[in-house]
Amino acid sequence: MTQANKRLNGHSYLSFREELVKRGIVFSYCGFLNEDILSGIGNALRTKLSIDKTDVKVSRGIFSAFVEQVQNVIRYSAETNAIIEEENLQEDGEENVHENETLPYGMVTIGEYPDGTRFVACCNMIRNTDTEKLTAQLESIRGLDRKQLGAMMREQLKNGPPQGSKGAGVGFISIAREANGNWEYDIVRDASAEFDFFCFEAHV
Amino acid sequence: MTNMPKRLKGSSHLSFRKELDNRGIVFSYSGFLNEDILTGIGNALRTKLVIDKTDVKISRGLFSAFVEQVQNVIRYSAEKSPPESEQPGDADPLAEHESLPYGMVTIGEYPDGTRFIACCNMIHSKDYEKLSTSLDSIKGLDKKQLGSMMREQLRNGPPEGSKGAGVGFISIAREANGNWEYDIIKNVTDQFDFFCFEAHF
Repeated sequence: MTQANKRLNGHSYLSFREELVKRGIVFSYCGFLNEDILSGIGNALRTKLSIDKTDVKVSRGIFSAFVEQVQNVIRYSAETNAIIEEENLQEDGEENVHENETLPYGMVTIGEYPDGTRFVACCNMIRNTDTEKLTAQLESIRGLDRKQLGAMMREQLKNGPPQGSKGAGVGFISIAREANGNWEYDIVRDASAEFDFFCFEAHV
Repeated sequence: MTNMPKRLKGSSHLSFRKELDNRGIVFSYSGFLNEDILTGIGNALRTKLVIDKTDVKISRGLFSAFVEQVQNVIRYSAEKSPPESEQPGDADPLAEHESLPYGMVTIGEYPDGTRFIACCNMIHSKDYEKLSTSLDSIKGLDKKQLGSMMREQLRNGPPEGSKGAGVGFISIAREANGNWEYDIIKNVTDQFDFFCFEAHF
């Protein structure tokens, strides 16, 4: 406590805590993300589901929605430490920061609505220039049921990934299918000059 | 979206995000905690420190304080799933594995460049006095004094009721060169107080 003014305000944390409880949120992570955090929170989630004796089918749905949504954030978050990576490249003239040392920023929350519906929500920044494409893609699967989504997935897997995709291009289709078509998305435009803020929520 | 009213509000997530940015928070976790999450966030933190080219000495202090603070939360959080009152007795060999403590961890930076690691968890109200006494007894001590205190405690063995070596907070305070704070909000529920500890680097 030497020379430092009092900076820690327990009340601010407690009120955040109370806000989470009010919204039924059981896990909340915001920050730079990687696969280690995904598997860490995933393991805790799995333990929590088994402690709560959650129905096996529901557990499976929540867990796979969680894994696939977080993987999407890791792949597609437009907000990363890449700017610093570019600096390194210039300074050293060679690549000394590996791809896995670029950290994407994202948010993950897992919780339950008062009516018992569980939700997994993920948010990340996307480039303004990608908003239209993403919106079109999501609108094209809105309202589809499990069976229709399954057929769509098989077709996409057969045809290969669409241009610009780092995955098989079936990410959201698969999540929507896990959630039996019960999902929502929201995009807050102009979150900054360059980015829009994208949120996706699956209900299980 | 079949028959479902709109429940997701992107703006509420964004305003939380902005609140974190305003407070300089780079990592924030609130929820049930275990060693896997500790390792996961720890690895991301380490990568972030490398990318930011953080001074090696500061990185080391920050990282150890992070690990020790989260371990403290895992050990001592009084809020668990399932609640302690519903947990089976020692007869159940799975009991220990199947219990998750709840806690909060944030890592960030103040506008003046001071980095902070803050952890919060519920404590039993009956433990309030013991905890605040033990923290007040190391308040204002510098790295050297904390070091000799640590050695002494390690020699004498853990104090009663401790699951660790009893040197947890002394060690964190030492890593932070005596720059740390705590805050306790009393009687948050009928049995819990809310405890926060923050180390500065």
